[in-house]
Amino acid sequence: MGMVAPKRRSTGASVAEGVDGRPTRAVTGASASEWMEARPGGGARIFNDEMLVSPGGGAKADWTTGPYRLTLGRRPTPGSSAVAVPAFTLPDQGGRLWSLADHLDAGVVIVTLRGDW
Amino acid sequence: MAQRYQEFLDAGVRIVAVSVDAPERQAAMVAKLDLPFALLSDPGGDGLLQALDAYDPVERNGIGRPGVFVVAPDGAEAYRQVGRDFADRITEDELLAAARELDLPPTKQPPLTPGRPEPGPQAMPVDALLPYCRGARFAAKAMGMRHPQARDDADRYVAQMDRYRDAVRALRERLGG
Repeated sequence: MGMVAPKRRSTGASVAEGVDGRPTRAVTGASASEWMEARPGGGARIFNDEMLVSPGGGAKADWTTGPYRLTLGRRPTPGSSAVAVPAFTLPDQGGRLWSLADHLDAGVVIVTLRGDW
Repeated sequence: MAQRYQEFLDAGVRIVAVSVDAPERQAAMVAKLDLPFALLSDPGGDGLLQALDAYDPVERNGIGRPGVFVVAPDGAEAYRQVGRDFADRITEDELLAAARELDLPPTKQPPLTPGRPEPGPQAMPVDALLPYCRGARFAAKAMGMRHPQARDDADRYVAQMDRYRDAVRALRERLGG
């Protein structure tokens, strides 16, 4: 399935869709509800806090056979309002405070874990 | 991720992980898995996890949700994925591709702060990780066969367990086990 450039939605959300119209990636920067607003009339729903879209993208989709998760995101296109990650400071494994602001001389990948191990 | 950390640094991004556990438990995890990046402590999730919508207040009285967030140097969120469960993670290749889209110069990891490791009662020893991966893989394979509508999901899970298994084997070799 080929990919085309992300489409801007009126809410600021944008979605990369496959050539067959099957959305496979959602731009975050939009909440699930925003994304739903961007697709009035169906084609997507929220299930267990996940955004699902039907393969055909229509309101009569069979949600049990072809849901595709839309949790993967891409950076909003230039000119759109990017979502800023909140500034935060937390203790590391040694108890020393770690601040995001101190590490933005580079990019940062934040990995969230379940914990309680 | 730990295994391929140099590739992330070469792409100009550092990794930091966050969970609800106390620093002593994070220190135990860093030591056990020989992690090259910091683990931050966010009990209650109000320091970051809640703001990222990566916190489940119900399960176990509040734990994190598995996710990844790529942050550009201007503080903008460049990429995010929040999974449904502990095994619902994107691959390192996907994450690296997202990181490389930032087009940043290589960076380095500052030295990690040493901690005082105190594993929690549920912490799984390294020797238990391989049989755990095998069992989880087997169960996912069986569920995918029983429920064709879930086959794609099961296959992704199986592939994930294979990656975990390979990572555990590499870890054991590194630790001389």
